[in-house]
Amino acid sequence: MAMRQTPLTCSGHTRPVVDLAFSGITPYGYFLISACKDGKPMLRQGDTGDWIGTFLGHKGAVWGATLNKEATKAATAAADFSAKVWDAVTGEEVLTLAHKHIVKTVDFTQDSNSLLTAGNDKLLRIYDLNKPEAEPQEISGHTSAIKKALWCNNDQQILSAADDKTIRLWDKTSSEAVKTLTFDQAVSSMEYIPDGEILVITYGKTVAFYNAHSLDLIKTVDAPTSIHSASLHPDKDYFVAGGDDFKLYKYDYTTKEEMESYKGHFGPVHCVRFSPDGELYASGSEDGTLRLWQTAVGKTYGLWKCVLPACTTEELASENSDAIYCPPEIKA
Amino acid sequence: MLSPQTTLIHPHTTPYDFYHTTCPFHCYARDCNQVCGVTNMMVEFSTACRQPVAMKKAPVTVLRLPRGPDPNSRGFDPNSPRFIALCPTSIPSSAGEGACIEEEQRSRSELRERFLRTLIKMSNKPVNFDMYEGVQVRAKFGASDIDVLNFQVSELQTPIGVQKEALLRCHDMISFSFDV
Repeated sequence: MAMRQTPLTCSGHTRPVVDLAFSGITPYGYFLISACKDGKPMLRQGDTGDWIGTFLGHKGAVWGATLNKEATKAATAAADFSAKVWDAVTGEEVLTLAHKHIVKTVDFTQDSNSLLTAGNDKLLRIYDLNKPEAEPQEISGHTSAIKKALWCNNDQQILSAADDKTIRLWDKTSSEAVKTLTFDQAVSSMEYIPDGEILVITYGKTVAFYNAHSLDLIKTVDAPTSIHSASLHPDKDYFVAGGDDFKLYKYDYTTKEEMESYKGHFGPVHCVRFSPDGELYASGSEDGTLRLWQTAVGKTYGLWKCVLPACTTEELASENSDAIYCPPEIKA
Repeated sequence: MLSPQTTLIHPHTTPYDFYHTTCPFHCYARDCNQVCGVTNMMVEFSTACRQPVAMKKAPVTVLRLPRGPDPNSRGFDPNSPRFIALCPTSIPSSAGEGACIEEEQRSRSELRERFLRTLIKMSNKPVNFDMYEGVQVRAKFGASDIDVLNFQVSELQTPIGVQKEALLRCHDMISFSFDV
């Protein structure tokens, strides 16, 4: 049943939003970066969606974006055959790493010293950010474009998902594939939860959960529509998913039951991620917006304030007249 | 059209005014659950005629909408607490001592001022640009954008003809020169 929730809509991008990532929790809150086909990734305050800055420099669609844990560095992967590392405090470009084809995915290690990149050239590359001029370590094996690559198991191993319908687990030191998972269809997204070693994979209408060490299947859940992305709550009680039908679905992780679904986006949902504190989840869509959704609807958090059901219209109007932001009139 | 029985209690004058103030896409979609930033009410639409038919209280008040990008800058406010704490001086001074930082800052200010004055002096003058891949073009310089990412030029002379108006990417330039 479609419930109503008031998402916070973050506008600003002019093309579809294809990737988003949260930082860890820092003394200044947590942050969100969005990758967009307009080539201008944006940094936002994670709990409010307020725009902080735009990373300017890429000359093509940005396919992947990530932040390090402390939100001091950002990395982006773009169709201009480059991955860039940015200072996430000043917005300055720190490094450009040239590739031989479209770069699709980037990921920092926990200590932010290495950057993993991968893309349409079918190679995984590991750059030492303290020695960026040095040749990166290259790992080959995939037979098609790599869609997503992530560090896992204490940054000792790498998980990669490619259009060759496989997910491979690599050992960083030996550059060898330790395990391979083969699917009938291309994997649309992958998320790694270090605490609990869970891997969240989506393909077709399925959301699947695997053990990140052994790549053993934990469970699968089928959704009503083709799913593009899913995310597991930090406490592992729920997971959210979004895809072709524009809706966001929330499921109970234990019982696999669909709990709620929300309409709001005007295009397919490309990416969805829980915040590091689990209080909200963000979704990016073909419609060019990011929306922030509450995990517990009705709770006071960030820009949401709980409204008592006994409020009348007059009380509501007067209560709100103090703490409201009147959006500017937008003429057609 | 709204039937006489359904009263729109929303204070805004017409349904379309409402759309314009709350929905950034001017949407007329029946499931738009945008919330009016003034009254925190949500509109319910008729599936038949797609007109608003009733107002509902939103389950949660939204204090305000998330702030959008500033059209005039790329953001990263240097006065934000995070910026001040993590970048006390954004000058990567090699020496790292007080007096050296001041001197370096003075030099940087001077160089920046000279650069800006050069850009002013260049206006409407023919300029030769040396770019990557051995590209050399000549054009009449118009202006730079605020982040010096693009130069607006006219009468750009290229091997395939003269381009009346063009934008040159500064990232692609190695050097440029002009006669003072």
